[in-house]
Amino acid sequence: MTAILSAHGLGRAFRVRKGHLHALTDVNLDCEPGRSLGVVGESGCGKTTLNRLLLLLDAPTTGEVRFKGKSLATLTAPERKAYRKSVQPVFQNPYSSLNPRLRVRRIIREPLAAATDMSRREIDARVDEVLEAVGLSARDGDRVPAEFSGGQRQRIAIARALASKPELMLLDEPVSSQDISIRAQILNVLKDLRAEYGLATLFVSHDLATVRFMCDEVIVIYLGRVVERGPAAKICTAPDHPYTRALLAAALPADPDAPPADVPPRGELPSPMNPPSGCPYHTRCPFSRDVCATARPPLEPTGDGAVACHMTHAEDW
Amino acid sequence: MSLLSVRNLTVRLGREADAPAILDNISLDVDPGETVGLVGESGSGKSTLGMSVLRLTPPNLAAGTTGEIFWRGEDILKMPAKSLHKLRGGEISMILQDPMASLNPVFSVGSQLKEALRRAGKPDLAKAAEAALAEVNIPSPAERLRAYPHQMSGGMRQRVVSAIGLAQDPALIICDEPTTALDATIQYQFLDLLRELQRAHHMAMLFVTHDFGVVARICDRVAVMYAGRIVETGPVREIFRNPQHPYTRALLAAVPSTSHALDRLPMIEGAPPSVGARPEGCAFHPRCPLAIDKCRMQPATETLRPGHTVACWRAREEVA
Amino acid sequence: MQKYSFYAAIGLLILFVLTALVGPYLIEHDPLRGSLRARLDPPFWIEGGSIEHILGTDRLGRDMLARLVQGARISLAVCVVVIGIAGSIGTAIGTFSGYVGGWVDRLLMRIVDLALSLPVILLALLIGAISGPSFANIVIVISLVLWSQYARMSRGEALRVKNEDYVALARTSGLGHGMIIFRHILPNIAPSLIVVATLQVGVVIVLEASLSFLGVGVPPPNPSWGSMVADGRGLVVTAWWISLFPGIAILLVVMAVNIVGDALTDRINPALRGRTA
Repeated sequence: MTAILSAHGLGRAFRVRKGHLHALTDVNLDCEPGRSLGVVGESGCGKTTLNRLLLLLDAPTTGEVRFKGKSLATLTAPERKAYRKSVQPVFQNPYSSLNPRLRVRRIIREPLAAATDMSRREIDARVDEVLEAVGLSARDGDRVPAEFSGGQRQRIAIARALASKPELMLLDEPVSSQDISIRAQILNVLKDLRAEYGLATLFVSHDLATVRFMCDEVIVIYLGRVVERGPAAKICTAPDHPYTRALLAAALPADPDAPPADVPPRGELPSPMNPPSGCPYHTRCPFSRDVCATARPPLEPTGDGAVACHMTHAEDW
Repeated sequence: MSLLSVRNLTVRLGREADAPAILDNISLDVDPGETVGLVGESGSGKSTLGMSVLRLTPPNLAAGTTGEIFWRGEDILKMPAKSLHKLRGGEISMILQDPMASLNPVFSVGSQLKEALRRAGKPDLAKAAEAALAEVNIPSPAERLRAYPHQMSGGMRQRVVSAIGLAQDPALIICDEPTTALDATIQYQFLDLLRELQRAHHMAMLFVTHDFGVVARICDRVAVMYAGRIVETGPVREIFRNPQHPYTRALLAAVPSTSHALDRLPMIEGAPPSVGARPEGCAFHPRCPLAIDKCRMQPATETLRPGHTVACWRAREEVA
Repeated sequence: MQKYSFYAAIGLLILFVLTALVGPYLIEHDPLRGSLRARLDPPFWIEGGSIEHILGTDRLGRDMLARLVQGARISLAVCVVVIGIAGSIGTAIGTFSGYVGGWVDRLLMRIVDLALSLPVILLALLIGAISGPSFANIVIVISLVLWSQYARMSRGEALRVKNEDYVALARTSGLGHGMIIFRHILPNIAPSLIVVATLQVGVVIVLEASLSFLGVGVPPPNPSWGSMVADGRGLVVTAWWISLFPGIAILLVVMAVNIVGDALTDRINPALRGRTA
């Protein structure tokens, strides 16, 4: 099956005052039709950079992003239009993603007017349709963002993304600024829409529990590198990489009697300006040995996933 | 005797009797050494309650505050400015969500810490400051004393804020979402640290949060807030194992879990009401699946079991 | 209290604009022509004054009230033209600079710094000396001074707005930069610019008056408030009304504009409002 969007050896380095900051290094991923991929990592891991690269808001320094097998850098104008129509983002903060001076109808209309050849009437009908699909009403189209709560705003942002009938939605922490009750509503809406329209999603999040709910497969990123990938069920219950295990321990369950974590998180994120030698996680890893500081473990397949850790090779660890 | 005892606290947006109430008739106790969680969604009033204890609410709210807040038997709301000033940062200290708001960017961490230690009357300030940073697990404390807040990570800053808060050996520490801005792995370590410090100093904590995972990890008792009222309080196990208020139940059910995959999250329809537009009676009734006509009147807070109280008409029915 | 001063200021500004627009048609005296028989008549309530010239006459026997009203018209015209020109040039440069960023931004901002350090009065005297006093002169000099403030403000606002997610979304939808600037950036900058424009009305009036006072502004015999004050300079002791009335007019209008401007700032910039509350 061809991926809608795929990353191949994707990397992005920023030039800063004292050298280069490698925000993202050698990331490979495939967004396949109807599948839901999760990208998990903490602040500074490069997930925002990844999102920007996939959205053509930024250009990679190494590797490439391909839309249906073709590099984004070489798309012709009509192909680019098809890409814009097929890949739609939803951002974290619905207060920033809706222009406060436009009516909701105009906000939702924007991608349709720019990336499709629909007539004005078709567009208006489509706007009503997507507003209802996210649980708002067509009348809400004539109001301005200030009249809506945070949760409703996020629904509007989702409606906007949905309008051009995309194949893939890039969801960047779409619920992390929402209250619990609203979070559940939005997650359910997203899941329903996915089933209804056969959407593929890329779900960027810092929270393993949300990822478990939303995703089939998960990639875990640490300091710009993929350290583990695998089915969501495995990553969220029995991960291999010590970092993923720390993340899992840190995803505090709503249960006062939960057993203590086997690998509690420790240490601080090292400066991305000056990343550790060898395995990027070795400075915080409870299992770290000499080899971890000298050689970087490659991402190697392990049955249904892949993990970048020396421990997977040594029997006696 | 309770350390802190809030009685019928109402905070309105202004002095007028009909001004919208952010907090409506709150009563809550905190005993020495225990951690009480205040959990709720945005607009529930949980932060306002935290701030009210030290009378740190803005003037329009302060003017609309009625009720009593007893600290060791003395009403904080009637306390003269001088005693209040001594209480703040003395017997009661605070940790807020944004550590940069508590730290002064133009002074080094060391000088801010020493200032607090000097207020506490510690003799050897340099040594005490180093020990204070070491106690909050900051590596190479002697060097970090010279650092400025912006040179530290969010987690480290929050540790510094805690060290400053602990300088005068408080009996109560009010934490207002102190880990919300932190990454999960850093939050985990900070919560562990708070628990250690609490045990070592025998402090009580009032912990404001929206995260049930955090509540489960750190609290002894919980008060669940909705639309300015406490709808349910109880020991943490009671609340998680045997929640009685429909809101508590729905909130707990709506939290996704890593351990099992659901098809859909059980959810509450609608959104929490804004301060000016709270429904009559039980504020939750328009969103409540169990609502009956009676819910248009405010239910009294009933004690179900010792320490477990709930304000819901239906809960009492079920027990009876 | 604050509310009353705001309404009073609004009322005063409406009066000012109405005076400028229709006032000249209601007054029968010609502001430019005097009668030598009526030279230096005092206001009507002073002995020797008459109801004919309510606020008295100047050295050439011209009616003070007619000249004040005509002066309002000149002040308003200068304000509208200058703020229009300086506002559009400054906003265009500032928005472009902030949106594009990089070396373009650095270069343009150095030019703005330069403009901010221009010695206004010297510049005006120089231009006046070369080309003689004229309306165009005033407009050019004041615009030269003021455009940079719009550039500064709109650049800062553009920097803020261009990082909003809706701009990123517009880009991912394939919108062109021009469309993004007109649909997303400018409408969100506008409120701050309106505040700047309001506060600048006062600055323009004072500058225009100063330049006219110095003789490089609106050419005589046209009555600018500034040149009227200058006219009465030598007669302050004997015929104080010549300088006093235009002086009061300047004071009131500028004060009203500043009160309204401050109120608008509070309204539009919530960050500032929070600080004062």
